[in-house]
Amino acid sequence: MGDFLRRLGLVCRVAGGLLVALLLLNLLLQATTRIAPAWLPYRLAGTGFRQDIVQRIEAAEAQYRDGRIAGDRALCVLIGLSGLREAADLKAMSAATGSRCRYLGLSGAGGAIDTMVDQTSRLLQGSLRPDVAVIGLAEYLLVKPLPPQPGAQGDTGSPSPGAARRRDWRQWARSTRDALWFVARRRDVSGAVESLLLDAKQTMLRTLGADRAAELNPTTDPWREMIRLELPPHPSEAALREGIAGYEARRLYEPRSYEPQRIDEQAKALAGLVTALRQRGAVVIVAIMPEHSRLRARLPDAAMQALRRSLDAPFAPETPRLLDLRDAVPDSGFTNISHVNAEGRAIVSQRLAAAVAEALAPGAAPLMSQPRPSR
Amino acid sequence: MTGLRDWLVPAEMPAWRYALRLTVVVAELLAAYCLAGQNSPFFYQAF
Repeated sequence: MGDFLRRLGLVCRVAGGLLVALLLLNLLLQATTRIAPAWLPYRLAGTGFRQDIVQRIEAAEAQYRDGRIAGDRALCVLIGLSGLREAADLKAMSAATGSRCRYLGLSGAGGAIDTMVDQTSRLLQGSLRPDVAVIGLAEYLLVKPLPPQPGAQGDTGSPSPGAARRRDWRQWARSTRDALWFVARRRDVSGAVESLLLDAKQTMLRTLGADRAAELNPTTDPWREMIRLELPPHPSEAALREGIAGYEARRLYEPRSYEPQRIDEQAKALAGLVTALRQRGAVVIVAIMPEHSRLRARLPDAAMQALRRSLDAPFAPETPRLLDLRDAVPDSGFTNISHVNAEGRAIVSQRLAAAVAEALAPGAAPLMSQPRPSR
Repeated sequence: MTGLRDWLVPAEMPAWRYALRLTVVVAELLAAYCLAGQNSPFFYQAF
């Protein structure tokens, strides 16, 4: 019995030590989030969107390079996040502009403009020269979502003392678990590692020439429709409330969120993207994607003013065309507060196609049909 | 507090080495926990 207790004591000792180490490590990691919130990117979307965009760009480059498609049509790229990805129907847009234009859908998902720039960065490193680039965004994308801060209201960053007072131990245990850094940021850690591994794999395949193996696979056709998530066609009242509350938690309805120093990074990312696209010869259209009336009613005027300022300051008097589609779709055309359904998609696709057609200079030769300028 | 520390740290090795070992074990467990998360590559948290 004495020997058993001695052994049990040793096990308890090690377990206690591990618990102390766990708590200290957790405190250290929470401190890093406070001091340098950006060291580990906060992910609102999976790594698949970026990989999908890279694949489309590389497959299109290969088709032009091998002469499998001619540069007889203008190339139009659609750069954006989920708002544009869900709203643009490439087939409908192609039908609307006829044989003048070829559309490449490069829209992913995320919560800020720099995510969009990161996801499409491969375009600016490669050989594609779009004639028209549509950047689809929303004014609130100027506010970059931050990871949950310990102790912040409405997040999962701290154990709930209220639950303990109420003796709701299940809720207390849940909030205590969620307050642990590695539980709250688990998805970000695995996403960062996955992204690194996928980049390494893609580089390896490119180096070995193995990325060409799936050229004839229709699922890798670069001109295919963009990924659409299976969302219900119409939102329930609860889903609308949840959407409104979710954006409120991100402080998107507060005018001070759009103060210049707070949005500086995102504004620079947008200006950098526009500049880089223009340097490639593209006409840039900035489309503000549709918003449900309940979202529009909550967003402050300061948000749109900040977006206009972000474009005017670096580019006036040659500010890119702003296509404001915020109220282009009736509420029946939404699947939630910021994404359209099939009805909304039909409206947006027509509006985008019309804007692209206007942007194309009549009679001008597509950039991809011209020899590449030497740098 | 000293009693607790004495109880936690074994006498057979320096305290710093024991603490380092514990930290490494915990870090490995946390890494395994995070990497074992099965997220869809196309997950999207809109709100």
